Amino acid sequence: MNVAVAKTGKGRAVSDLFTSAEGRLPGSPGITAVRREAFETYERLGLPHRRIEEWKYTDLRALVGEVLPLAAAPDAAALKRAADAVKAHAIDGAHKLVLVDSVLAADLSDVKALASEAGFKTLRETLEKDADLLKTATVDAVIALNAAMATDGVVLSIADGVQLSAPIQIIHIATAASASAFSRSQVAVGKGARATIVETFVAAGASAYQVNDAVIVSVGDNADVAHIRLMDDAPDAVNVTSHFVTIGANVKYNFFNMTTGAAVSRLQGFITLAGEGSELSANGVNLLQKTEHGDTTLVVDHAVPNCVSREVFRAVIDDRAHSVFQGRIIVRPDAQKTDGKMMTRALLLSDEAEADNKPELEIFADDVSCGHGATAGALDDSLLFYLKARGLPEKQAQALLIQAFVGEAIEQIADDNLREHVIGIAERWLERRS
Amino acid sequence: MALLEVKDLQVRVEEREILHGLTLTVNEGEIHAIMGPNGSGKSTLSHVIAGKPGYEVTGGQILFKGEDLLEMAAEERAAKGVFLAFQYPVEIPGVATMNFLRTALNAQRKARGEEEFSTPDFLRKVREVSKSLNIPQDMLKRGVNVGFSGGEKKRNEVLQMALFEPSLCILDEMDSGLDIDALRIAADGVNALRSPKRSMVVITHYQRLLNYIVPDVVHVMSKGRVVKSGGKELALELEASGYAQFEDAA
Amino acid sequence: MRGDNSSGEFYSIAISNGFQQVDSGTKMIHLGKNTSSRIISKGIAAGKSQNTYRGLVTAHRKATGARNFTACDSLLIGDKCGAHTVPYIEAKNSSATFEHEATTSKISEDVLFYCIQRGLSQEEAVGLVVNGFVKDVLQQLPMEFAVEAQKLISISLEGSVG
Repeated sequence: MNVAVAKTGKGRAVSDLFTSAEGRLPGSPGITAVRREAFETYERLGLPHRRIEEWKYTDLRALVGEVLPLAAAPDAAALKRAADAVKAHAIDGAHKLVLVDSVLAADLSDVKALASEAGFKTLRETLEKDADLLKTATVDAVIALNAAMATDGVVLSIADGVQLSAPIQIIHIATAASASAFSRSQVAVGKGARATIVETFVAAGASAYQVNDAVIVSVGDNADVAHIRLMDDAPDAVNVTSHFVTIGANVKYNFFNMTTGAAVSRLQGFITLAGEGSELSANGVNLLQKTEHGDTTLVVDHAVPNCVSREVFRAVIDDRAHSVFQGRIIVRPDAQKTDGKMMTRALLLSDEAEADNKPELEIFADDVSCGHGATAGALDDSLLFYLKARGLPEKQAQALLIQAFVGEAIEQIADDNLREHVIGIAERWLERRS
Repeated sequence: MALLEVKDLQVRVEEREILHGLTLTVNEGEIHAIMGPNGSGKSTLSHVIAGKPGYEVTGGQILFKGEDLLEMAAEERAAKGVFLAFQYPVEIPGVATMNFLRTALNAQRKARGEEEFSTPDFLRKVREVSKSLNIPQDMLKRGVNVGFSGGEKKRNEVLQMALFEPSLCILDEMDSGLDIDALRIAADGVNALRSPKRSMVVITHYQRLLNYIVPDVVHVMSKGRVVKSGGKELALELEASGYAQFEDAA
Repeated sequence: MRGDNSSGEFYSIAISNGFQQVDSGTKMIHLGKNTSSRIISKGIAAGKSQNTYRGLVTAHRKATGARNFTACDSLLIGDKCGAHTVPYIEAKNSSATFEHEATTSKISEDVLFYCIQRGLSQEEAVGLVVNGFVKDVLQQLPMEFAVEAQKLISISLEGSVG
């Protein structure tokens, strides 16, 4: 073990990151070894940079530079701020699970109400016995770092056949400035179950913080899952999140991601269709302004035949912001009759905005129907003029067209209440803009 | 009283002069037809009055109710009562027609310092007007003009005209792409909106439309100017003898 | 495309057969104003080959009015081959208009059977479908080259079916 051996100034600081946090990281001694190994992987790789193909457009070395020290436990004032943030961002009727700086705040969570429908533990509790949650099939530097440093998270299991009466909303609240928080959660949905999971990321008075989250989802046969992630972190924050989703047979999995905050963010989703007859709908919206950098990367792996995947992604980029969409569809040799479609469109509102699209197809089976489309461009002048000729001021005309543009992705959310909630966030972003 | 006064208007598009000193006065309550061959500048005139970007006015002026129209943004002109029924109404996917109508109507009212319509009042008004134009309610739930037939698009333009109650309607080639039945429905809608307080400028290539919307004055445009004006019989004369005589005159 | 108002076109047909690995592609870099580019790429993979299209389209800040249209289509013959498309699309100013389409298809059994029932051999039928698939690229070539290219395609695909 050479964790403490430093080769450069930066390497030294990185090692301190782990050694100074190690005492506070939950888990039995056996798990500590797993964490150390993960940290070594991270140290070996370092923060991803542009010469790593998957991170070509999101060079964390240049954009972030270094990983901040682990956040201290929130004090009473921080918890008070968190409680206010929960009120502002909670979805009506949802069962809330609140993580403050990546530690479960039981007082702010609906643990009891949830207990009647779903199994719930914290990551902290789970890691006392079992290190499996720290392992994933795909590993890169940020995923390894998450495994090494994860302080807490929610571990949910929804039994076979259970239909959740209300959405479960996991609310991540940042209260510690200039610190980093690492969370890792698991959602296991049983066969024939029906569940809606919403994740919300917001700040409560914190700035310049870093979030590294990982979520491991498994979906049993015939289940129906809606998974919505709403990232509205502070404008100077960093959020890097990795999703690992494995989908069984005859499943409906409807995923939606919206990015409206953070100076630098990346959502990387690895979704594997592992059972036949499933339908995946994975959609997203990036709304970016100022100098924000937002990256949505989705890898959809058709491992078995007869699945359908649909991806609709929209980016609206203002000022000097930079949006990245990387979508890869993999069709494995046996995955005949795969039907995969991906459509990504970027709307540039400023001459200094940038949109990078990398829609990839990787196909090893011949009886498939796969395609993707990508467009980038400005608002259509003829539409703007039509609206202005009907009396709409410039900003209002733009707002109407932007709403329609992102609406094509948002309308993929089936639940009316949640869709309205998401539209509300988009509207607030448009108000911030003008 | 003069509602619209176009005086010696000169307009360029990318270095090329399209209108070379066009003069036209439309009084309150009058219906004017502007006829002319393709490329005579008819559509340019309608675009410049409505404030479409891309046209450079190099001389002359346009007064609307005595005010300088060229100083106003396109949306201000709309709020003041200038309505252009587009030759090719654009499709706006994702913006429901109903939402668009309400947003536009309220933006105009707000700009005029009037109160916004309440939802029930608005709905009642839209229902009334759409019924008279034979526009089914489910069409209003769709995106603006998305998947509409040519006739439906034109009826949607007339619907807006009825709803926004402008004092000047410019109908740019309203008959293009319409069969006789669709044309009759749209024209009946327009005729229902004739009023002593409302003027119309009907731009058309063919005399056909003027059988349905009968004008008070007919102007012939050629090469960027009005070369002849007269009563409605001028349109019939044109139908018989063609535009060639005027092209030489210009 | 460094100068203003310039345009670039790239048409390609990449055929892989046997155990070949073919990697083809292009870069369209828009630097000047009002530049336009067009990429039509047809990849045909047969046998146990891997066929990759890799392309970069980028419009820099000052390349206002840049336009690109890219279509990369793949045709798979047999179930042991692979087709990959890896496009990089970078828009760095708001007046750039980029469109990109990609499709992957195989030679449908129904179409083959229809042709064979009308008297074509299996290979002729495949050739017919392949020629239809690459037609919009061959149309860009002068006649004599187009004829030559068609012959090359049929040679490249010999033994790919059956």
